[in-house]
Amino acid sequence: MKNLLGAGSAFLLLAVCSLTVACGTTDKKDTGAPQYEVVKPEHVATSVAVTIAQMKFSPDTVNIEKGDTLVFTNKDMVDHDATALPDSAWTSGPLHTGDSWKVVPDKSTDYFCSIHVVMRGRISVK
Amino acid sequence: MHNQTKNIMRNTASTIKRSATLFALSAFLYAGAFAQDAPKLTDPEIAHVAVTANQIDVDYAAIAKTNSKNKDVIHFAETMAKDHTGVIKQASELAAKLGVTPKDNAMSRSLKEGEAKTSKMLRSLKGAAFDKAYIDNEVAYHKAVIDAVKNVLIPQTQNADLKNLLVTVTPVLESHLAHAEMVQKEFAAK
Repeated sequence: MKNLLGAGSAFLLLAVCSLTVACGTTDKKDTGAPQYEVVKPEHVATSVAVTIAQMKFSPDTVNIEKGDTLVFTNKDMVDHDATALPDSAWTSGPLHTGDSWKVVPDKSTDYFCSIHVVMRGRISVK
Repeated sequence: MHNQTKNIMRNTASTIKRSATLFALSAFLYAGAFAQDAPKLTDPEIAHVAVTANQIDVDYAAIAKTNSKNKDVIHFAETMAKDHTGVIKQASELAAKLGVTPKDNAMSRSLKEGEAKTSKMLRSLKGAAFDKAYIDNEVAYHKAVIDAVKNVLIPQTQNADLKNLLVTVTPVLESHLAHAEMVQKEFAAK
């Protein structure tokens, strides 16, 4: 009985789909060829991790899309920060060992550790 | 040439010559302190050398914070004080955890003797002459410490945790050296 109901539902779904394809192209010139429209899926914002260890940002260059979150985690034995260059548009402030900090950058930028100024990284926002 | 201009040029040349001599002296002192034909050290002695070497740079930073007005030098000195104090804390905590009492030794004493001479020299200087001498000394000191950590302390350390601490601290020292060399280049370009 259950199998019979399942088969019936599948048939109904198939029929509805066929009807939609047949009726959905009324305003386009019917060339007889099937019509396809490719819709780019919306970007789902994600989190990207940047680890601070051995006096380096890793990875030192990250490629992200608008809306993505960068999560900096200090796994080093000394304090660090992440600060946007050249104007400190954003800064994490001091991150102690084990601390994490999040930022959603709205544009591409270089950044550095303002405590250890030779430590640098790059964020590329598409 | 005007007498006053002649005097300024003579004084500047004298300061540069003096700084160069002091830099050579400090490089010599550090090479001597750490070299000692790679003495055989126990883990308690290595812990003592590590704490002493870090404390010396904290002490140099304290002089810089008093004698310098240059923002790059003061920023560097603050970073040295903070980082090396942090390393001392971690080394002391590790020693306590391992039940190791850091033991004074010839290398530590040699480092302290070098510090006494260098500190005296640094305290006698002010302004640009101090800034140059301090940064030159930091470059020489970090080079010597990195070399000693890599070639003497790490190879001789028996305890894995202590060895790991020394391995972990090496990139910190290398970053300090790169920072000091950056400031040194800025001074050279002026």
